[in-house]
Amino acid sequence: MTYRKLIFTGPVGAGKTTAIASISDQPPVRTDAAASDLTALRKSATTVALDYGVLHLPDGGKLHLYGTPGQERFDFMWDILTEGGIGLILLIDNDRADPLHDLRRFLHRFQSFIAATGLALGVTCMDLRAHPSLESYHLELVQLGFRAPVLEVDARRRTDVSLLIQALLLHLDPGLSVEGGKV
Amino acid sequence: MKRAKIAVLGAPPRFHSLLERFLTKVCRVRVVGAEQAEVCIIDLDGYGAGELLAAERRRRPRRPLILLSLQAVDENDAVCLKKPLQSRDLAQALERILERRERPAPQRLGVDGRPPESRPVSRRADTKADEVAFYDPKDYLQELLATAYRQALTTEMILRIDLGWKPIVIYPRQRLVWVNADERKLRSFCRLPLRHIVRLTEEDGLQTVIQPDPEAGLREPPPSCQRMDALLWKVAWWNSAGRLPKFIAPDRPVQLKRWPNLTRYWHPPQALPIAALLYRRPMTPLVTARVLRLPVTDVSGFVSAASALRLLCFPEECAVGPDPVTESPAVSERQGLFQRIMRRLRGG
Repeated sequence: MTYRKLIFTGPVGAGKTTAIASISDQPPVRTDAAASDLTALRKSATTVALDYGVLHLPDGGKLHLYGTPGQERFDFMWDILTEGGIGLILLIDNDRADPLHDLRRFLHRFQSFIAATGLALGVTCMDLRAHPSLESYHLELVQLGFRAPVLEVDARRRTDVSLLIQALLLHLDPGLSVEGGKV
Repeated sequence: MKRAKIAVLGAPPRFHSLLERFLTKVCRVRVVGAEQAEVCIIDLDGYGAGELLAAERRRRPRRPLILLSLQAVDENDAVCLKKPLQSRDLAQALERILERRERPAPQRLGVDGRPPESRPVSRRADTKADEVAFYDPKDYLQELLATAYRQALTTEMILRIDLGWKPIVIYPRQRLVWVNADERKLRSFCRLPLRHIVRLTEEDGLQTVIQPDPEAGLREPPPSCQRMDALLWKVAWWNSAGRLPKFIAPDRPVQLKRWPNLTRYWHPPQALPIAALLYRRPMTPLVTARVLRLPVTDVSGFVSAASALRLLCFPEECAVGPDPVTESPAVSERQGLFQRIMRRLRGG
């Protein structure tokens, strides 16, 4: 039996909880609390400890899906959650005030975890705001010394989240087979 | 220019008249009787077709033949096309024969003796450079679309492409494009070079033009609009039909500048590992096919689409094989885990 973790991170409202709910085989466990600070302007409740979902694998093993809290004051949870992770899914909300700043902040914070594993970047809310473009994100990544797949994502769509995870796995190991018809 | 003379033998009347219309209007040749013809098309599924073929070989052994059949046919001295007949295949076969007849010494011959643009498409993973088929994007919708995009983005005007087929309207401000055709129709339209479409319609006085469409500016873009980049990506993939753009050598390394936005672009499953590999390191299309054990046609489609969106660069160093992977229990375990996750995500 295999127990491994995939970590979802990103700023408040980027879609971490929704992405885990889209892909999880069972209703995700959430640790929400009523938002009391500036977060309340964006949504009524926010994750304070973690989100948890699970993907059952063909051999009976499980892939645990962990979402970190988006707010920095809960960042003590980040190191705990990344322990044993196979890679990082970073979601950035394109409709926030300075999404490239968010990107830099999270890359800096997860730098050593990304170096040890790998990264895939999903940009959400591009339908609400098209800029920065995917190319801008890519250039920012390159400038900071990262190489990663960058895809537009709607966290509510299972196919989008699935493709982002597949991109991460193939980025780590391009030799993986893609047999099977569905995304 | 003098039109080539083609005979169609052995086809039932309705199929004969359909072929005649296609040959006359699209391929711009004359359909004549067997005595006058320079090239002969024989329907092998018709009554007495075997005798017809034997008689044809006896009487005119040097006349080029195109054989049509529901069965897979392998005749060394003839071009064999399997039914259901694809218009593109027939047009290309005929073009190839006529080119050979008109230009006995074609340029840039490969070891197979054919010019690269007219080679049949090889689907094998171990295809050699001389067997790769090419196409010129300028002959197809992708180049016209790219040109119209450039004009629309530069002038910031809504532009309309009239091909004598379905109109295409480009909304540069919203980065959207509207095609009045469903996916199936668009895909089969992409099979033919534009000159064939223009030939079909030029008798009605239509030409391919890109022009401003001020009326479209008065309305919101229709809900069925597609994104400009997503349309160009799939049109280029379909125009490629498994061939490489003629300016990309199969043995020259290419690399992806960044991942294509595959959550929003049409793609077959193989696009993912191709993207991962070509993003990771420069690699030739031939080596990519071999490393991933994919038909070279899949790699050619991907390279064509990525090139249309200017996602490719051409580094000088050539990677000849996969990354060296240290065999260790940890690496094998990780691969096994990733493979199981992939299988689960793809519904296997």
